Amino acid sequence: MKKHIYKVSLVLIVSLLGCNDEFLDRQPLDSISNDVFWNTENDMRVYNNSLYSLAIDDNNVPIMMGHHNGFSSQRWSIWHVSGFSDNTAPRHPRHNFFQLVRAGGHPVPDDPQWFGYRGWDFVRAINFGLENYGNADVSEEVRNQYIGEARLFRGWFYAEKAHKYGDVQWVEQTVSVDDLDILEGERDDRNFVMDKVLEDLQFAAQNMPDDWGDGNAPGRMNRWAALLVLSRVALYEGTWRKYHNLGDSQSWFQIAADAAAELINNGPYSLYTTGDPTTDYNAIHRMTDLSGNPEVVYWRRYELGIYTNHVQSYHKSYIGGATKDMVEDYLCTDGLPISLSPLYQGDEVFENIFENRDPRLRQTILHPDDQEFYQFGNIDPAVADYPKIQGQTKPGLASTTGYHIIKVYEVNAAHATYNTSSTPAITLRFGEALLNYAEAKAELGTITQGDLDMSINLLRARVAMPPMTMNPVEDPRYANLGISPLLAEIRRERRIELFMEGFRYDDIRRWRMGQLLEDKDLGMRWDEANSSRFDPGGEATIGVIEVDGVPYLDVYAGTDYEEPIFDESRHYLWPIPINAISQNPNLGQNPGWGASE
Amino acid sequence: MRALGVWLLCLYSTATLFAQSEISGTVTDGENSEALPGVNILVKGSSTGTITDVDGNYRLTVPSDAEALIFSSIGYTPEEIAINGRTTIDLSMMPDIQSLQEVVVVGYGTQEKVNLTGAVGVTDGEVLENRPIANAGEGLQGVVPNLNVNLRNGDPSQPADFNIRGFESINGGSPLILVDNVPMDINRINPNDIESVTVLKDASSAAVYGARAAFGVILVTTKKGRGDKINVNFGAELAMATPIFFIDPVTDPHQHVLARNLATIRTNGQPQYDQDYIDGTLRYSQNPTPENEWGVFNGQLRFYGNNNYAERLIADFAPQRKYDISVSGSSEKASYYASFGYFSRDGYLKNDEKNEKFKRYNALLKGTFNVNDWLTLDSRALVTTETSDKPHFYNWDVNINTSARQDPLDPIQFPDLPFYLEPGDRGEFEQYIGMYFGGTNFFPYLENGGRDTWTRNDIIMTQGANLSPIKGLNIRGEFSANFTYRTDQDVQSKIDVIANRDLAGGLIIDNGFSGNDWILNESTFDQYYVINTYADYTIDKGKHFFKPMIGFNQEWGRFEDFATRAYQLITPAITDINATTGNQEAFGQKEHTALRGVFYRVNYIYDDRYLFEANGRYDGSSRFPEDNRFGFFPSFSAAWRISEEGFMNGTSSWLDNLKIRASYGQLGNQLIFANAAGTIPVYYPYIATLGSFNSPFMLTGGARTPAVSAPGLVSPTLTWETVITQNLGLDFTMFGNRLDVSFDVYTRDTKDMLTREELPAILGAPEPRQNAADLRTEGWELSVTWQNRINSNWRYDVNLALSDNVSRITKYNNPTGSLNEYYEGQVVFDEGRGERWGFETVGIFQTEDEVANAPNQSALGANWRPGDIQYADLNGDGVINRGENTLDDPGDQRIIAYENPRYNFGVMGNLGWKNFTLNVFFQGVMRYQYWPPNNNWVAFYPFNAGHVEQYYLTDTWSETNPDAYFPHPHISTNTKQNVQPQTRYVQDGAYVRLKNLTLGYNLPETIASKIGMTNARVYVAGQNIWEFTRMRRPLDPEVRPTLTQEYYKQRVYSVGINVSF
Repeated sequence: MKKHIYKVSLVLIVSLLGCNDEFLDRQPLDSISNDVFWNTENDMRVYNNSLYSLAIDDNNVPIMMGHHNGFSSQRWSIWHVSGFSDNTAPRHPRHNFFQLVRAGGHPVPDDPQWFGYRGWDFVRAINFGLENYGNADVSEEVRNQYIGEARLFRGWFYAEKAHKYGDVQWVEQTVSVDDLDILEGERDDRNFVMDKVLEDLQFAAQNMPDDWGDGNAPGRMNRWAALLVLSRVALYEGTWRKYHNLGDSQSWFQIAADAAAELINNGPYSLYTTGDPTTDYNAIHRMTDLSGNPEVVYWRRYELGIYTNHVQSYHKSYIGGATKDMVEDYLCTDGLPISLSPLYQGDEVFENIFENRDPRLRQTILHPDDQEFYQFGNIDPAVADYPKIQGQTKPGLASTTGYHIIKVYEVNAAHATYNTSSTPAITLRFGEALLNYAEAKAELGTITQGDLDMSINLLRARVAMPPMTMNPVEDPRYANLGISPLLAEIRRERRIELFMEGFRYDDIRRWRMGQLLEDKDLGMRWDEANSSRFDPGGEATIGVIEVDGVPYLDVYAGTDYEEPIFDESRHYLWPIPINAISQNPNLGQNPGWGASE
Repeated sequence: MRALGVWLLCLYSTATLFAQSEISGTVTDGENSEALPGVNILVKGSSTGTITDVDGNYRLTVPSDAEALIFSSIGYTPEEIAINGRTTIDLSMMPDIQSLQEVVVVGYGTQEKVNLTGAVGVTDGEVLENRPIANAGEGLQGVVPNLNVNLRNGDPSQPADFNIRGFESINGGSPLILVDNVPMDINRINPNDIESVTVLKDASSAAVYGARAAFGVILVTTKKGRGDKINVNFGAELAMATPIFFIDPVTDPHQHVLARNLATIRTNGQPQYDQDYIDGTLRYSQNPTPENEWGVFNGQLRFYGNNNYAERLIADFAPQRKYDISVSGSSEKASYYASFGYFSRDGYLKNDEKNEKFKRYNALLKGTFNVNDWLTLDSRALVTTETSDKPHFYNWDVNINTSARQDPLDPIQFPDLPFYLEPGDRGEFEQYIGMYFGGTNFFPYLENGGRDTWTRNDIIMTQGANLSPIKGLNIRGEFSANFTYRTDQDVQSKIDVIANRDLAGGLIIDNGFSGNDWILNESTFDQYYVINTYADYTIDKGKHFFKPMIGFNQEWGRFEDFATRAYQLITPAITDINATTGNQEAFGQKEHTALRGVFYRVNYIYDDRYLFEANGRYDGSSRFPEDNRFGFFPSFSAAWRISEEGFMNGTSSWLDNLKIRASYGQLGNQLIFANAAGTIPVYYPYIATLGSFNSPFMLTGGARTPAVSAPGLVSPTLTWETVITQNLGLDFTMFGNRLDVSFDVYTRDTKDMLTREELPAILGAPEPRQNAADLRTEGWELSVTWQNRINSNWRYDVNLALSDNVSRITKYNNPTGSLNEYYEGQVVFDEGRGERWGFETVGIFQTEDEVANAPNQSALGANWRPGDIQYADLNGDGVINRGENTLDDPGDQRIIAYENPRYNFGVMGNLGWKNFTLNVFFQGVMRYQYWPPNNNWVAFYPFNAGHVEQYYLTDTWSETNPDAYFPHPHISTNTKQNVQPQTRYVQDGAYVRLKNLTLGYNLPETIASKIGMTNARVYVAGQNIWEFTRMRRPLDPEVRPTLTQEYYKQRVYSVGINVSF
């Protein structure tokens, strides 16, 4: 008996030890390894879908921007970034960062800021795809479509980084822990990076399909989207080089113009219009479903139970309002600026600022009579009394400036239950191509009336404004910028048309117009007549400043941002985070941002 | 002292001259004075002796030169009584206080305590009995030195976190917890089923568990049947828990409004409350009538009163119930133990129906069958069912934790007023009366916002066999299967709330945070199997004791999870996935793992004096690549029982034991976690796989987008973390086992830590785990027990557990010395770094001049004014900043706090008088520096949340309060410039807390037996009932605040009975 026991135990132990490899070899049960993937076109497609998925995080990947979901809608949206500029004047404490940057008070951060020095996982994901697309058994043409899609993302991403940080590390491989030349590497020269960006975007614009046959709702980015991005990036680069005196800008302008022209002339897109100049401009910004809209090249879709946002609700109380400077930039209906046009009625009576002005003004800023039309604030029209300034207790939504923004206001979403809205984001629209084209041609010096007519004048025609001519009257407010009156008008057109679409801060930096950010953000005229009319109780808590003897709301009076500065020597670029430098000192800091400066 | 007295007596006794004499007497039990049969009586220095009869009487003839008699009986302290010519010697013997021969459970076996050579802590189940604890973890806090139990908060469904001897590894790691040899969560078993808990602290004692025991082992042994009659034990305990609530809110709404305005004007130039609020709250403060509570201003409904939200939401006491019944017994052929337990704890919510409810049901069935003289079979089934039913968690804004920081001017419900805008309009608004307002008002979510309910069943079945074919040889084999099945249903259900207060413009009804309603169903099924076989052979010949043991262990597990979520309930009344109409999603997960190892232990003892032990294990784990899968982990230990040496003979009457121990050994760690808290295990750290998922980025309407993502980075050469411990120990027992002291010093080196070395972000992926860092922990622990029986009425004992340890990084690749990463020499603790870097506070700026003349602080914020914090320019460069945030250039930062608790202690005292027992247990930390984090919503810095506490008014700077602790009121959720990490707010977190106080009464046996019981006991107890700390309120030294103020710790008061028959 005892012997048996020994034998049995021995056999048991030996047999259990004998099958080690099998027993201890436990491969994942719920995920696939790289060697069995990458066979079909579908594999490439679902892989590239993950790039879109990464780009959903607008903070990390601030390209193809939309609106973040949930609470993050209050921070990360294509709409909010106007807070960096002189277009809007947010005072909400949660928009502190926008105010800091706007006023030139942002410190060197410890870790990446909003929309900052981050998103490298996106680059890695792109590079991983590029290293593997070759394994799929598909035709070269099909393969290049997906390569093009990935390179569009990479080029776009790097352009944004180079434009914000100057030199950046260009990486076109998946980095491993052994790649010390990269991990401990220096930043690459921005010109080198931008040449790489150009290669990526040109490849995309040549190889992506015109149409993926996916129904455009919103579908994948296509070749036309790539062309629009190419024209945007090239225009940025051209102007940046020109105005920051880096030379070699002409070729970039040519690329920008050519790309825009290709999209304008051969693309399937056109301006959205119903023939009503008083509503066509802002209509597409207030729609929920943009499927098939002729003007929208790419948009971000939201839907209950999948991905929703709360951006309308946050926007209405966080954005503050449009600035006096913005409102005064709109031309009069005779095509002249307010300082020159006999049609301008002054700002003594609030409603008068809308009289005889570019119809886009009234589609951007709330005219008190339009409250019922827009249901602004979702209140009974009988008790509505706009404008309403922060601090006032009368019904309705308050602003910091008196210039309530209705371009993107949609009442249902603005008062919808938390995070249930499907407010879309227009990421790329045809209108921009028209503006890019005109500006690039103007910078090239080859612009003609025909160029204006095929671009900016289409935008003007939609809102029944007189066409722009080759020799516009010089607006005194732009007389000292050292640019031609025509270029000044093209830039004005861009500011007006693209308000709230995420361009202004970038435009100011590429035009080297940082000085504009030294001007205070003001609001409506707040003289005795206006304040007693709109705020008889004297409740408004926004300060007042006199401009040429006339009092206006001074949005940041009494705050840390009262005296905005723009330091030409450093504020065009953002600082590299301290912790990024402490991990790799070779990154170096951008000029003017040093630890002891 | 009695033993010492006896020894002295003995020393001075003189021999009598009688040739022979007869001595007789009676031996009784010193506790109950009953006769003691079967006591051995021996004439000292001879083999002459006798035993007492049934009535405790004896009669013995002794030689004339006999000096003394030695009385001994199992379970009683042996006594040596000098004869001194007496012919009658009566003796009352004291039951043994604690026997050195006590047997303790060790890895795959048992050992006499006196023969231990490693660092082992032991406690028996008694410390867990009759205490209003929710789980065993709570009861083990402070009991065994250097067994550190961290209770994150008071939530009974949240398990306690265990740690042995300090910070384990930057990769996480925790002790291995085995219940009857099977790994499981100790918190799921009934504390009353625990017979003993053994803590294996060093490599030597834990080596047989090899790769899983790197950070120590906790062996829990459950009770088994004994005694020859059926023993039934029943216990019932009712307890009330009350949250430890260190807040003191301002309840005067006018004061609240003024305080908030002061802070918001300072921060962004605008008051939070307008003049009407100031006037309205003043009206109410001066005359708190219902009419003054509400008003309508400019068409807006306004509340001017004070909603003491916490008071309305939180109950004073939450009930807790515990019932246990066990039946046990044994016979020659079999023994059995069966127990059933029930535990329930409710949350603090006043709403009884919607309150949180947690319940646990335990059953333990054990049987042992002696098949024949060489074979014993044993079976065990352990069944645990836990259920939890809580309100759905929306977000930190809408949950219980808001109770402490809700703005008291936020209205809760639409009021019933005679009229609203104008007389006669009540009819128009009647529909809203009683409706809840939205915002961060928890009430509507609590009542109708859905529930999160789960049930977890845990079943462990074990079949074991013991063979002892020849004398001294023991073979054991056992197989255990553990099945865990958990189902969870979480429902976010739509509620209707009033979104605004605009009576004139129109009230808006919406769904608050619940607009996107859904049902989530999740099922988890885990299977885990364990095989243990081992054999030991004991040779005990003369002075040689030799006991080798070998064994084999194999474990494998498979874990499956499936979840599906469906949106848009048809009606909140029916919560089933079928009754939804919206989009749906499904998720799944499957994992498996395996372990295999052989192990050995050899004990050799020479002459009870020299003890040697060698342990080792050869282990393989599925978590590593094939080439690095196996590891060998040996250990050695030795001890010298000095007290047994000849030269110590003179001390034997007062020194029972003196032993020094030393051990050295290696262990491995194979557990890898995805998070620092060590709750998400990683099973395939060396395999890179593509992720596949459904992205919410919609390329078409109505559907998620299928996507496959890039794999992460892995290191293909991963292998074990190695843990090397060296231990030196000293044990001594004195005065008849009354004083028992054990002291250990140790170092523990964690080598080749599996860590994610922090690399520049350009890497673009989470860093792969590599064996790249080392850590050293140094510490010591002391355990002192003093126990005594003064006489048959009085007895007491005192236990002290005191320990300390410090862990430092000894190797870490951080060439730039970035303070954002680990660096060499750094003290580490818990889930992070124990060294807090920050600024040195000069003080609070008092004047504009001071601001103007101070170093430039603009790197930290703008617009510095009197009332703001002034930081010291430590590097003298005229600006205050973080420099490069490296060790070489920390700017003006220095280490401001070591956030590792030092000198943990527990003091337990038991006092018995006749039938009364009193148990007192203090636990605490002697040194602990703590800088309260400045994250939004963490309670500490004024105006970091929506409410106002009294100290915000008294302790903030103003021109008339220049010496205040805090700066000028400002909203620190918006600007952190005054609440940077800094010396001023470092807290002294040392504390002592009265963890337990129990007063019990045992019914006299005579009475108990009359009502058919063998034992009956009633007790009252309190848990966490008192504390002392210098930490500022509202901080609790035991709860490190996180983003949300979580479930509060609680004081628990209980009454219970315990009867046996």
